Amino acid sequence: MRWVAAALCALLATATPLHGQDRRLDDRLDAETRRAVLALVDSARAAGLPTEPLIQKALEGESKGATGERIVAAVHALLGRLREARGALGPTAGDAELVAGAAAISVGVSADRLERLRRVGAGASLTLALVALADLVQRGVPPDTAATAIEALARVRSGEAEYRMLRQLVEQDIRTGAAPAAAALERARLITGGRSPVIPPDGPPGPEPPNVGGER
Amino acid sequence: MVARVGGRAHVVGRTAGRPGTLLRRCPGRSRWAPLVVALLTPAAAVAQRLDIEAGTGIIRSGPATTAAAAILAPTLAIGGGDSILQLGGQLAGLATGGVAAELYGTGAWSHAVGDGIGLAARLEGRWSALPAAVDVGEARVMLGIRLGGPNRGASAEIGVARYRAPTGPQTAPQGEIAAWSVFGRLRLRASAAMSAFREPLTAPQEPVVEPPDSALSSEPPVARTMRLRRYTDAELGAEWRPGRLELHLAWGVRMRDAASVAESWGRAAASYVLRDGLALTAAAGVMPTSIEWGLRRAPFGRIGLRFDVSAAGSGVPPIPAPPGTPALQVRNASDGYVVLLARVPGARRVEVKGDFTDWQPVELSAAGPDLWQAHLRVAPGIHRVNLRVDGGAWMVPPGLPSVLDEFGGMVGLLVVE
Repeated sequence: MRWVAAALCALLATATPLHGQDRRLDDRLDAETRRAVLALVDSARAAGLPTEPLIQKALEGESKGATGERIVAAVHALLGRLREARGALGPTAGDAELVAGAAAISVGVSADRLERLRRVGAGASLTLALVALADLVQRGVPPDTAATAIEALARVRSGEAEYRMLRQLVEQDIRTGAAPAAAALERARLITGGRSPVIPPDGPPGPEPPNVGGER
Repeated sequence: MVARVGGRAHVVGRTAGRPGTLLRRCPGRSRWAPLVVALLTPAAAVAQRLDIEAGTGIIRSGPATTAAAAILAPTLAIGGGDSILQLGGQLAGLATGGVAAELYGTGAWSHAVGDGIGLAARLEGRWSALPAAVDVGEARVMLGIRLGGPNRGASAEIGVARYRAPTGPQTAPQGEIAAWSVFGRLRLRASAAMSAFREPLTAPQEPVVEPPDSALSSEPPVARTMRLRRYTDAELGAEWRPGRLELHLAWGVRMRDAASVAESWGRAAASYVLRDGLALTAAAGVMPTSIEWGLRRAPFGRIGLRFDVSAAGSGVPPIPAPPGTPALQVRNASDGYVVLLARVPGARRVEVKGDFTDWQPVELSAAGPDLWQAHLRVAPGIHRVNLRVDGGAWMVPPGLPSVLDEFGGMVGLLVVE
């Protein structure tokens, strides 16, 4: 029986990566970079934050030819954003929400706006809302304006289709010369204007027709 | 025989002369079946894509004749991106009796030497035969330069072709320039192919007297009166792929051929995906005169079914792709994995890398017209991903939200629920 227990322990020991280890990093990072990254991973683990995004950030950097110094800086910055996102989204936030929140913070959205968005009640779609928020800011919409537009959608319990539609319409408007902030607010107003979601069967609508005669 | 859209017209030899050796040895149609099975079974194991098209139509049956036929045409494609090998063939049982056969192969390689600049090499071969006719064939080697990428670019190639023509073997120079551009789901292409061919002079024109091939020949010296024909085939083509439909149109004109009046040709082909791996196909048009093989301009038409052997059994129906659908989507699979689907029009190779692949490139396999797929373990959550088409630069998959990746590029965000 003792042999069985010992064998099981040995099996578990080889199958479970120890703290401060990750085989995926061994072959792809130099020793110094690996040590620094693993130290950051241990810090995240101690804080109850997800560690996998940090390892993936390091692998992404290696895959894209970044230097060890830059990889460590990127992992360090991500750890900071995850901490900030946890503070804004609360201790019950899931890993996906934290990662999406960190992405929003990375483009300039404040922790206060994240907290407001959580309170608005995006619910199960909080991750989608945060991703759409980061995308809008990335396209040139000012962070607070983008957050306002996203909050408008979150209030009516929007889903993936609405957030995707908002992103695509704003992108289209910007491409045709519209101001990013105005495009985001106007499109959010348009999408949330009706009680039922605006999902045409053949894709998102084009730009609004010209206001002939000034009736509106 | 049958003109395939996207390629040159396929032609066969004349009725006089030595009969096709392969067909003469195997006159019965049933004898082809084991050969086809033997060729296709190992091919299916290595194919990136293996299509078999079966149908009926009107094909060229001789220098100046056409005939109804039952057609079986397999096509095997291996590789992608910078290196592609395509092999194909066609067997046609003629209503007038006998079997027409054709084999062809194309290998194309390119090597990037700078941003948007590449060297290209192409090797082509074709063999064709009809019952009671001379086998004909050609081999072509082309070298050139490519500018741009899969969505917009141009190429220039020069090379040499070796013909096995009814008038005897000969070698001739070749040249081709082409340009292409993609506008959404529409791909346009324009090309001009320059050719030269010496043929026996049959009309009272200014002769070119050619000496015998070798002064040491045992045969008595006979002066053969030949004329050199130089001509340019210009062609405009369009491909349109809305959803399950795929439409090809082409129109061409022969220019600068002093020995004949200018002629034009055209073809239209369409396919519609009925279900995973099965498509309805139709094609019709007019094939140009083949100067090299002595065949007249002729009409053709056919309809049939195309079975994609490599996609069969994947269980992944093509995604209807309305405007605005992201290029990358995820579907749950029954085995605990997900099916990652990429809709990339006109691609020859598609790769992804992201946090669900530990940032190692994974090549997707062809799953239908413009559709690529991979079975991967992707956990629910938010994932960072990049896409690469035809070996180009890594990019954000179109339609996905994106953020800076902190390493000088962009990355797409894929949410899996």
